[in-house]
Amino acid sequence: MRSSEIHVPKTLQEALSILEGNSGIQVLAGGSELVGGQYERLISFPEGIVSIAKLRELRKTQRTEQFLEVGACTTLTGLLSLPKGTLPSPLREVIGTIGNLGVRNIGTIGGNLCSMQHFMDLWPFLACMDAQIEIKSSTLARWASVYHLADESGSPFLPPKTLITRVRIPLVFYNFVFYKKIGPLGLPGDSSALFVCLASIKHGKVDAFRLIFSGAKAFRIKDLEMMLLGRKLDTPIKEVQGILQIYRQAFARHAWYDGRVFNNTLEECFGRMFSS
Amino acid sequence: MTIESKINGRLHKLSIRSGDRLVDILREDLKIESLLPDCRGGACGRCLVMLDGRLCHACLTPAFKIQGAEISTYELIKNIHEAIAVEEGFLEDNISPCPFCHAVKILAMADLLIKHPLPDTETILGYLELVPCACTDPEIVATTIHKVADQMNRRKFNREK
Repeated sequence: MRSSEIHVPKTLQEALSILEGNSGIQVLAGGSELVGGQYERLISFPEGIVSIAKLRELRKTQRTEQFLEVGACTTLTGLLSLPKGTLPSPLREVIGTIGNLGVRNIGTIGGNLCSMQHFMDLWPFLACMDAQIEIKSSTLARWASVYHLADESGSPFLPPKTLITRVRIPLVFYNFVFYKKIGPLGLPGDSSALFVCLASIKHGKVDAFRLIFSGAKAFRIKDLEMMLLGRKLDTPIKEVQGILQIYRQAFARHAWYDGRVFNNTLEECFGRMFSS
Repeated sequence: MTIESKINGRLHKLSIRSGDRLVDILREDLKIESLLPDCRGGACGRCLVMLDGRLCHACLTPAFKIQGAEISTYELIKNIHEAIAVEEGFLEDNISPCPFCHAVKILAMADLLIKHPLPDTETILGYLELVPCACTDPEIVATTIHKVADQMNRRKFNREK
């Protein structure tokens, strides 16, 4: 087996310089995804690895009135250990369903967002919540929407030679939360997907609405989300059926997942929202 | 590559390959036999260790990640107050985990009582999910752990009759 070059930088700047100077190097935080799918005695790594889990700059937490900001190497257990009320409730719930305690003790929020094979559990939630990520390279730092971790074709994407350093989660309250994990238990694979819908209902009307279906790719139609704003919960069934039909047709054009599963879940979701 | 790590209270210098898993290094180089590399996928829990105070699967941990870290296994943890109390509780309630999971179950329950001195049932079952062995009923173990936690807290606050 080929041996890999392991870099263990002491600072974030050092990590970014290593990334800049070595093409094909892979970033490793907790490593649960990379290692979890391998069962041979020796773990197969790419040519180079930069291990960032111990970088203190990536483990800080800060909370203001508007948002919670966490370092990308904050573990999932670390997120669950935040004082009650700090972490928005749908996130707390979904983190609790990721792996087991041992996996959550090493898995990080940044690692969960950066999977390039498949969207993992946190991405659709954070994208629905309009969370932001700080992306850094050795020369640049910028904030972007978590949603931009999907490219134009809907596949996972992170610019090369960059790192996610912080995640900023808006502390917005959604009073309608619907999500469904689809596929086998364990690490997400080709047949796994996640349906997430968050909405804010005020005075019997839809005030905010987000719907993402993600797996190997991501599916979201922002225009349709806008169409739902202001709709009353007692909207005539024909109108709701019309919206569902547009969703179904749009999803059928993407065809990266079984449309029947999406359609059934969509109907269940809308059924709950418009009957609430 | 060579790494240095404190394992069960002693500093060790270890020569490893980049793809080595922690569980193999601990078992083969250091002869720590409470660990079993059964599933190599973080599912069976038979390789649980404490890595810098957090329970984790040694099979999912690349060995190079323990550079400068502190590892504790059942061999060390079995002597601490919480582990002794769990062993006694198991004995009292006739709970006898099988030889494959006994060590890691004690380790997990000891860590539970350190971090959650009065755990609720959901938390206990969450910890027991780490070692999904059919030899013991999680519900029965949870009842015993409640009892052990209660006794430990009574002793701590001198409320024992």
